[in-house]
Amino acid sequence: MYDQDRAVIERILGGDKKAYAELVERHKDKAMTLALKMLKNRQDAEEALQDAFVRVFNALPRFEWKSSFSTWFYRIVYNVCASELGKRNEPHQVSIQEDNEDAQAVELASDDTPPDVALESSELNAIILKEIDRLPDAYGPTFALFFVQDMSYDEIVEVTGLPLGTVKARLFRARMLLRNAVVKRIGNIDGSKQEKVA
Amino acid sequence: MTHLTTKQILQFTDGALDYASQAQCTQHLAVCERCRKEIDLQKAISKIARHQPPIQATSGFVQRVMAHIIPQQQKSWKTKLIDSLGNVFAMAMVLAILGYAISNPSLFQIQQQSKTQSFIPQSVSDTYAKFIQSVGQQAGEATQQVMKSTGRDNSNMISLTILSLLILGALDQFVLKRYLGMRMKH
Ligand SMILES: [Zn+2]
Repeated sequence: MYDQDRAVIERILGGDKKAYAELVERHKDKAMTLALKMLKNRQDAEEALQDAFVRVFNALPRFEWKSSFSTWFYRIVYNVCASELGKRNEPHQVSIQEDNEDAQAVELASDDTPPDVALESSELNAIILKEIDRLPDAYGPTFALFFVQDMSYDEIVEVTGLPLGTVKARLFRARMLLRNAVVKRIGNIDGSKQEKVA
Repeated sequence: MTHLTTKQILQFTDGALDYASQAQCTQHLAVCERCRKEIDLQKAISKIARHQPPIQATSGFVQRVMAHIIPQQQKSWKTKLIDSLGNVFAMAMVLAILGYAISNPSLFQIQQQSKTQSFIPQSVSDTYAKFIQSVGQQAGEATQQVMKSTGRDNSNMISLTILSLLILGALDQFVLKRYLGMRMKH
């Protein structure tokens, strides 16, 4: 991905502006996932993303490869979406309580064992995807950057400008919320199956 | 039995533990079903989260972005053309009105020093005069108003220059650009 981006960017900077379409095509859907997680509205997300892509194009001559293109690109997408949230008077922040690293102290009860479920089942797949969508607004973007954009904690810090502790705490909480929601739903599946058998 | 912490479970899932901690966890997992199940569930969640289908941008998204990027260049040379057309036209008009003023001493009451009636040849000044008349009566009338109201020679020239600049500036800004700009868009 890194080398592919670099090759296309060199063509663009060499004057082949049409080559930018390749870069847009390659990144648009994953970027859309992030934009939608932040803005929660398809039209706004698409407009913000369009704006971000134009900004990225205009800023390309100043890009110095100090980070990967992907990190730099997502920082612009993230900032455009964050400023859109700012216009809506919804700054992209959560309360100190949620951001506190003590969130990592949350432990499962020792008797809290996940119910048996086929881990490859399409049912579980659907449950997890649905619960990912239902993650609180503050966690969605961090979660998407970690799993969809496949970024490290440090890269997420670079994109979001959030402190490392906050990034870790959000991700931790998001994963535990997801785990608990999924376990609850699996329990219901199991329950309904047992009822049917009985 | 002391179970793995949630943090350890997530780090084990991510393969983010150092060698010693990894070995310690593996030892515990060999004897603890609860932690094993927990890690299996976390692995399943991570796998699905990682492979979740990205939300697709609507069709035509790439074209819409590119429409903002390629026409930027086209627009700039069109704008440049319109700008230079306007400027060339405005300069020609200023020169025309100044020429007309200089070549019509009776109208502008320019003091004649002696023999020289005008340093502009008669044929050229006639052409200027015709050109200016064709520009429009309004401009002509306004010009004559200024010329009548100001008695002194130098102020005649200055007023005339300012007036012509104003007229041509307005023409350049509002008429020429708007008209040509509209035509370029269609
Ligand atoms: Zn255990």
